[in-house]
Amino acid sequence: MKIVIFEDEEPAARRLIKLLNEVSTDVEIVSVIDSVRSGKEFMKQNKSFDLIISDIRLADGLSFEIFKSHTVKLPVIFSTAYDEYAIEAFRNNGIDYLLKPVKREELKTAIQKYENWFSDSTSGVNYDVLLQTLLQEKKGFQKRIVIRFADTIKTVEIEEAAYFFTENKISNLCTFNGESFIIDYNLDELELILDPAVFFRINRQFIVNFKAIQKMNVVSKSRVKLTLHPSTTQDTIVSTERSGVFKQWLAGK
Amino acid sequence: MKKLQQLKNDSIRFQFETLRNQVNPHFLFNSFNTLIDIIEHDKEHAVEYVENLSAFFRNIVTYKDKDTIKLSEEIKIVKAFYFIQQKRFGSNLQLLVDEHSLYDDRYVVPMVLQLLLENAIKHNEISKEKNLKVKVSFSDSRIIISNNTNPKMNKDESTGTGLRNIIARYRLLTDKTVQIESSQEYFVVSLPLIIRE
Repeated sequence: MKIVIFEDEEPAARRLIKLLNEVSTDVEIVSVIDSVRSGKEFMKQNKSFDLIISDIRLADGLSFEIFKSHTVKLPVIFSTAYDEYAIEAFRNNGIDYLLKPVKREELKTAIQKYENWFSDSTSGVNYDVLLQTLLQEKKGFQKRIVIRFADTIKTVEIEEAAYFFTENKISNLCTFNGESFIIDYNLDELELILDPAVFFRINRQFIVNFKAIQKMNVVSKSRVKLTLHPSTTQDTIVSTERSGVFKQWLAGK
Repeated sequence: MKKLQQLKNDSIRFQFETLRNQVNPHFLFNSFNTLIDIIEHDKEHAVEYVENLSAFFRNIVTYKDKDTIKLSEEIKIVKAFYFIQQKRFGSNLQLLVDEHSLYDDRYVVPMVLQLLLENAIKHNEISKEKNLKVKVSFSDSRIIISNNTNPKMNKDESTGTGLRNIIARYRLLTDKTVQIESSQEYFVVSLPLIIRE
């Protein structure tokens, strides 16, 4: 089994290699890569290998960038120190998702999963089916948002969220009751944990709940202005590049 | 009157922000991960690593309500933090502290150097190809923290609150300003030293 490791911290890579050798007798490490840039370079070389084990945060960015720019047909086991990218991982050929420090048994299970599904070299894997299965295994989309201020913690049910917006680089959540909270997630992160059937990123500042849209006006050829409830101080215009997808989303496609 | 209230608010926000960073799960779990590797491969440093980690958390508790800290103490804090991070990044991360002119009556805002080092780590690539070098130097009345920049592609977590909070904290203490200089290659922060008899 030829493995490529994407990991930017040497101790973490060393530990992973040690564990791999403990859980399998058939491990060959092809390369250890520490950045998205060198990862992209490596993928261009078309070297042969069977499996990728990838940390999500690499030295210069998120490892998903590597998989986005190459049609990677190989399975990936993702690992991360903190659980926040599970959904995105499964959208990127992820077959398993390990939390650091990685436990030997969990790595063993992941490797077995790989062996069961892929080692019989049947031509092509249906990643859509795989993604669906894995999404069902995981609990799906986030149910609540945790809000912290000083020493108090409160939670807001996702369905209570009318929209999310950034103002002065700070992310806020506005509920249908008109309450507004500062939250820890940025909009990019929120996109990954919200149900795309309900929430839509209309532009760089706003993610809106379908139910918060009160009125839509066409303001120019490809721009749509939304009136939201509760009302907003900023303009909520669907950006030109998002308007096509926006219409599909409205139709529930 | 209004200004004073504003300054108080800024100070509270700074404390909140610092605390939030310190319970940052990424930092905690990455530290555990590194520790496991050190126990297995670098035994003689394992105890030192835990000592530094514990010193780091102790500092947070000790200094969270203080306005200022002796410069020499702050240097110790940033070094403990550097030790922890250095075990993760190896020689790809370097901190240089020019220590030859440490006056004992100079003070800074607690955890400020640690926060600036942490910021540099958060926002820049640290790889074999692109090392991160952070330098701390002094003049009679100022402390200068500079680093080379290789920004990460994803600018997540970059809310700018860290720097804003530092500026706000200093405004409570002195009329001298915090100066920030950002160019293509370097990021430089100059902090006034507070002198106490």
